[in-house]
Amino acid sequence: MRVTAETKEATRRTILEVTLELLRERGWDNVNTREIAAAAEIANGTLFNYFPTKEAIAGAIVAETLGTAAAGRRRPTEQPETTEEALFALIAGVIRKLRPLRSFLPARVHDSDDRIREEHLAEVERIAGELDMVQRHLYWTLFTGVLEFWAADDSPKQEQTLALLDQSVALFVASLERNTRHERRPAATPRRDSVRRRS
Amino acid sequence: MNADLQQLLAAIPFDDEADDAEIAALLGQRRIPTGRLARLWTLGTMQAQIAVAYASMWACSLFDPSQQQLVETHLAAALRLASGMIYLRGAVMKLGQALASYPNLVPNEISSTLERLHFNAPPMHFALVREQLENELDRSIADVFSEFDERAFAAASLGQVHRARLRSGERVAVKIQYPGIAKTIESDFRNLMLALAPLRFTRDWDCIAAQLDDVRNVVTAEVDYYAEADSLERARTWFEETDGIVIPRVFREHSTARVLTMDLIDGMHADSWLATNPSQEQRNAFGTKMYTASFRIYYTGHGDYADPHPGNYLFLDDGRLGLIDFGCMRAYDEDEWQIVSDMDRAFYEDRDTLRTLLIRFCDLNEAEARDERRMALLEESFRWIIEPLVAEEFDFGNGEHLKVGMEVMAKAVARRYTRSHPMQLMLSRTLIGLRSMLHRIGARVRVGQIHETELRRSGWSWVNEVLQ
Repeated sequence: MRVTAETKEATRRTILEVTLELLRERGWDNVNTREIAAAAEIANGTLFNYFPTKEAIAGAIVAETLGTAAAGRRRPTEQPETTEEALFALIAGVIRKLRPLRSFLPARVHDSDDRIREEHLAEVERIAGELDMVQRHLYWTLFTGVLEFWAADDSPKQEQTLALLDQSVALFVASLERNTRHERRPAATPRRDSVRRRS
Repeated sequence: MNADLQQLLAAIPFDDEADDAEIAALLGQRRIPTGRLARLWTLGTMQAQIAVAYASMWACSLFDPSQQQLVETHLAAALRLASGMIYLRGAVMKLGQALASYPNLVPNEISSTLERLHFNAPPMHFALVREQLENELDRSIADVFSEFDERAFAAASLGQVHRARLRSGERVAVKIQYPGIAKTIESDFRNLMLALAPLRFTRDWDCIAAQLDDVRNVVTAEVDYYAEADSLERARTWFEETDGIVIPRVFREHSTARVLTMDLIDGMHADSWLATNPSQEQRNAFGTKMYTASFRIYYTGHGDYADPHPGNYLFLDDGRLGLIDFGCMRAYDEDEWQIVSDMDRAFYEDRDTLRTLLIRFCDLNEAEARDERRMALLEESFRWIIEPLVAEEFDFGNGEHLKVGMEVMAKAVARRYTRSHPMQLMLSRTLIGLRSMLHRIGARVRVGQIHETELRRSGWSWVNEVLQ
């Protein structure tokens, strides 16, 4: 039987979803590929056609989450949202979604390919306006730094990460403003005004 | 801004973006700073730097002129180190409490600024509030609250307060702590001790260290909202309906160490209430309740409501007084409570023994106790403390009393008589805070009468003998 591209994509997606669900329920060490295959209702061998290891599945989940961060962002409903708050919400959404993969995270964040990075930065630019090379680098450094800190954060409920995220985003937004104020980069158009909530 | 503040601002290493006028404007009002720049200031170093500069002024008053240069060098280093400490200002402010209250010793702008600065955690936007709240409660906001106001309505110690309505219908105030603050305070204290290390060899070090330790205990307790919930619940048992004093109920199932959900009390803060031109009778009635609350907590609760900040009192339309913040309670241990009992008893029975007790209270050595100037000042300070108690009705609206008290304390600082029992720090904070508040609302209070009534609740066996 020939497997169409659509069926293949649907199966791949199912594998990612059930894995995330299993990890959420049981934690990284208590889930194996046999259980993932069973939950996805496919044979063990079929699973390996898609992903050679559990780590590869997790890597794909991380990549997708970083690239499609906007999907995980919840928007408050009443107040106008500032650039800072919108960026905070974007990253907080990523962290929430990746919670089951926390211990596994650091290596994957560094390995994320250019496509993933570009997709994520495109979402950041939708919030903060166009970024130049330095700003993109600064953002990515802060973002991955926060994720790495989170992966090793042993504070209760990882509350230190929230504080670090808050301060990192404040720093990043302040750097956008500083550049605008000093008119060092007339080409860039960071949005300093409020971003209206869209939901 | 006067020249002194400008000099101070010029002396400390501000961010190059900062503008003096903006800073002064920001510091000139107690509000929840929501601007980005304001957020960065709180997160960064500005206020801590001012606080440390102020601490250095205070600390310098403790040393011989010959040591001045050495001390200044160390303090300059401490200032740089402390520039990264977010919450240091709180501790510093409490430590230098006496000085902060004295316009004669520091410029007005500085003392009033310090008053406003203490314990302002960085403000949180709603996205952060939601993450912190949901992490703490392990449930979504919508699961717990049918309404939740995204804007904070008050700044709280170490966090902020939001109005909300529980799914069960009650209107509540939800106090949310800035994440990770406990650890920050811990490391601030560690760094502060390192920064102050050169002072170890000075004569008042033990006293400074003991007072710092006491401040550290109170601050650490303030971080734990479970402890505050305990204090609130204990305090509710000390008051009866007829007292006209309201303390909010805690919703334990929606509270954690970092989130405190309690009854929302509808009332006005002092400024708004004063703007309604209350009558003298209304002022006296509220003043009486404030004193009753303070003595009740002291004699029944064996503790101090150590932060009688104007923001912690609410004036209700029906004449009741709301007490809303119990994060800064200090409980006395048995030894301390015995000193309190002995002092009270001496006040009624034998004022000749007071001198001995004051020596004990202030932990003076023999030489210090023989210093007549010092003892005279101590006695003057004690007379100031009891002045409202011995009057039939005391008029706090007359500023003379507060002024005299400040002068006594200013003399103590100027003559470097800063040594005292750690509990004295909190006690003077309570007294100065309470009496400033009573002065502000212009109340006349029968303090002695309230004192006698409340003293009977202390449980001390001697009380009924001396109060026939």
